Amino acid sequence: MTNLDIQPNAGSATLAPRRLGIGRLLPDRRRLAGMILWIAFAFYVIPLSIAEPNFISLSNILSILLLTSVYALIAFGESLVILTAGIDLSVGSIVGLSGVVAALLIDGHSSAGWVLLSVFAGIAAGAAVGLFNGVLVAYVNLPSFVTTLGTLSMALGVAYVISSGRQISIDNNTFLNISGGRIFEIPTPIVIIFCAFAVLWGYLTYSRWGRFVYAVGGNLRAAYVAGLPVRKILLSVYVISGALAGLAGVILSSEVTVGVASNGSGYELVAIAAPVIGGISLAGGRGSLFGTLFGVVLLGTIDNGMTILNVSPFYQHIIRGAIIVVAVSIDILVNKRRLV
Amino acid sequence: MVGQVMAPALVQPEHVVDVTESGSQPISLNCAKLGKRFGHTDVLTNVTLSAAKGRALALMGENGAGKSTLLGIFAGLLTPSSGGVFVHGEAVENFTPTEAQRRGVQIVTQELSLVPALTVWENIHLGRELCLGGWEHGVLDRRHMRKRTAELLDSFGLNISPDTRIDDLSLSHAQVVEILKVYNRKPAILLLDEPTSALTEGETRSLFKLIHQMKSAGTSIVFTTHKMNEIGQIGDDVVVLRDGRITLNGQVDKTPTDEIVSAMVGRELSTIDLQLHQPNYDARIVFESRNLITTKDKVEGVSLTCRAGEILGLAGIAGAGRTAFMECVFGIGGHFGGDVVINGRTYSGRRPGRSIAAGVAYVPQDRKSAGLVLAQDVVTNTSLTQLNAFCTPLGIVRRGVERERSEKSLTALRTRYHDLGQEVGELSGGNQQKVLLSRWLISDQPEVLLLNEPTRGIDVGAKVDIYRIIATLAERGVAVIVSSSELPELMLLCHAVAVFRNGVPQRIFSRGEFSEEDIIRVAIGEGAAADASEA
Ligand SMILES: Nc1ncnc2c1ncn2[C@@H]1O[C@H](COP(=O)(O)OP(=O)(O)OP(=O)(O)O)[C@@H](O)[C@H]1O
Ligand SMILES: [Mg+2]
Repeated sequence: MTNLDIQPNAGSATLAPRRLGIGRLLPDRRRLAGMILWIAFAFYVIPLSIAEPNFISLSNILSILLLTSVYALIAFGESLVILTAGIDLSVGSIVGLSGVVAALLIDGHSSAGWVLLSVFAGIAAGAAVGLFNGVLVAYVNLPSFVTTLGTLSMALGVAYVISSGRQISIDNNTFLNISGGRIFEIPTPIVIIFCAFAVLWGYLTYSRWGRFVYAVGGNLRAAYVAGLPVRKILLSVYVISGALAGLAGVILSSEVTVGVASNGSGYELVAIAAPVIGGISLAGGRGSLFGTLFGVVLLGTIDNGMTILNVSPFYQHIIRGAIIVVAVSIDILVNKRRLV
Repeated sequence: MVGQVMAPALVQPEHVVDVTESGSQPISLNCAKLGKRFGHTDVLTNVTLSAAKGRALALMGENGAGKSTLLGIFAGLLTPSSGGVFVHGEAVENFTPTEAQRRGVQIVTQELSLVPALTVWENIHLGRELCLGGWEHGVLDRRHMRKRTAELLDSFGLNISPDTRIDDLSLSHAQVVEILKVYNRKPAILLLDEPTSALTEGETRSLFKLIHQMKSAGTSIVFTTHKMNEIGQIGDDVVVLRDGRITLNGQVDKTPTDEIVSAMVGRELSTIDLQLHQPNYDARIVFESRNLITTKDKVEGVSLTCRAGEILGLAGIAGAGRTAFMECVFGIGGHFGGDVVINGRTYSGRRPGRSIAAGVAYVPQDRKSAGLVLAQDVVTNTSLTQLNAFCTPLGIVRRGVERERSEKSLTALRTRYHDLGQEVGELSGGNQQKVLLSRWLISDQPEVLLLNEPTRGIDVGAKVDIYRIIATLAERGVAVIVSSSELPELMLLCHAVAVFRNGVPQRIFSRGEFSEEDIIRVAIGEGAAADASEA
């Protein structure tokens, strides 16, 4: 069945010598590049924690993670889409939509069953938008940018329509516990993001599906010629991205105790920035979910630090944007990534 | 090398023959003690050579020897780690393409570098646009550029419209456009990295004519090739690289081919015959196409059969429909009519995934755009099509087995890489081709194997291994269909050759009837053959 007994009749491939000696101990360029951002990060964290000891307290670290949990979920989904060389601009609107859906369902109910139902409905609403995106991208061949630009507006519109533009306040305690509760002393959202991360990262790295995601992003035509189910792969990443954004919307509405259509507006900025800071290539096929996690934590820490330092929200926007640009520039310069 | 191939026999110590008399011509390009390392590996070490005005230098070496790297440095695409490059005696300081072009150096790279979405005339004039009234920020002079392009195409004997998009060209035509683009810039020094690997014989002849013209106009040329007979046809001087070091430097007419080959591979190659088994003509018909027609009239009714164990060659000039036929069978090209029958069952997948499931395997000609995922590592690329064989039911890849199998099939093809986790894009062109071929050795053998230019860019030593592997696969009952623009290759490897012209196989030659002349005559059409022989 295999052809492994076919060998050349003389000699075998001569391999160039592997790295030997002291060169092995030094970090190579790729690892160094990863470290550079950490070092830059340290330059921000260390002075800040000296000036403001509260900054590195456990409770503050947990609050940073809590703050970033919503971002993290949508950024994970966005990473998958970007790995296939696409983009999902609709995640912010999905966050609003799913929050509204969950809030509407839970309104006036108190049983745990309804909580479960509303959570699933929120996720399903997100997945449905993702499915819509995926079908258009994978089967109609519409560019993802156009598709999700459309659904960004449509999902937001649907959220406004079904909520009649109101804020739907949530008073179900079980539902509010999604963000306020703890599992083994760790806030539930943090447990959720780490579970989501572990599953996604593991599957992306070790499964056939993960391989195919990278291959489709790296060279669509070659993936097709190699016989991969290209359309299904594309569809899957948009659905996952939508579902994760849906989950993020549920958590956010539980955190702010209201479901509002505009809850997640502007979140696509962070969702795209985090993977890009973490080294996932917008051209597709390159990068790791660890990078995204790093990007999210970096952005969250900086936001939190600015709040602690009482930086005006207006300036926060400027600083956040500047950091995105600077961080990616450092990465590119150190990596010597070239245009060609 | 018809009917004969080189096989490795004994290892010889490295020997350097240095004949540094470059005739009476002045030197236009030279380098001294050039070194290049990527990360921690030396790709070029201590390379000193020179190219003289009006002469052609053949740069030879096995896959991964460092030829493309060296040309890349000359063209300003790469910066050397040590040593110097001199153009017309002047040291180069900035290694950028702009700088190199300013000094009159132009390159045709191994992989195409045209803009696919632009037309032929736009590509040919890219960066050198002609403008109305000669004002370079003014309005483009389209008419003039189109006309110039038509002239160039005409002089090459290529019958395509200047308005064709590169997307719509075959690989060989695109290669010609790339060459014409560079030719149009009237370089003082022209670097050609395997220019003929994607060309058909006729196009190769036209290219050589062009090169002779350029040489007599004083252009110095540095080229690489894996076709040994081309050294004598256009080369004046020859330099051989092995593992990034020069092992031979001499004049073509004073250096026998054997010597060049042994300097390349570091051992003597003796000539042996490929032991081709007799096909069993009673074996079942595995592959059959019935009056296959594709869209755009590229294939107009192809009916062919291939039995288990048979190796069927496809010959023909560019655009004769061989690639379109294979792609249609595999489900990439547009299918218009007719059937493909695999093992007696009409197969209507029309999609690569289904074709593979039905037992059809395809090695595309254009490895860069349709074959490999360049940003991914060697293992991933090797196992891509057969990944199911290495997965648990839950879809988790068993990486240990995957690595082991990949390594074995890569070694069988003598693929050179630093480690299995290296990005495929970092491998040399020929080694990328080997990765592509190794895909079909890694797991269950296919029923039908379609090979489109399988040895494109592969060195002499490894070609033999590939022929042998193809023959072994056939002996085990695979129906193999090989398309190649090298007739000697087909005549060595195949039991029968179908000659295509105008989208239809005109005639099928069986092994006993093989004759290069006859095949060419059928390929270009009887009348045209007479013209060609007069020319
Ligand atoms: N960017 C890179 N990073 C690391 N290694 C590289 C890179 N580019 C080339 N190499 C290595 O340099 C060696 C020489 O490559 P090169 O492309 O010059 O070979 P070549 O002689 O042109 O071979 P071929 O006949 O196959 O085209 C190869 O072993 C290749 O793996
Ligand atoms: Mg090369």
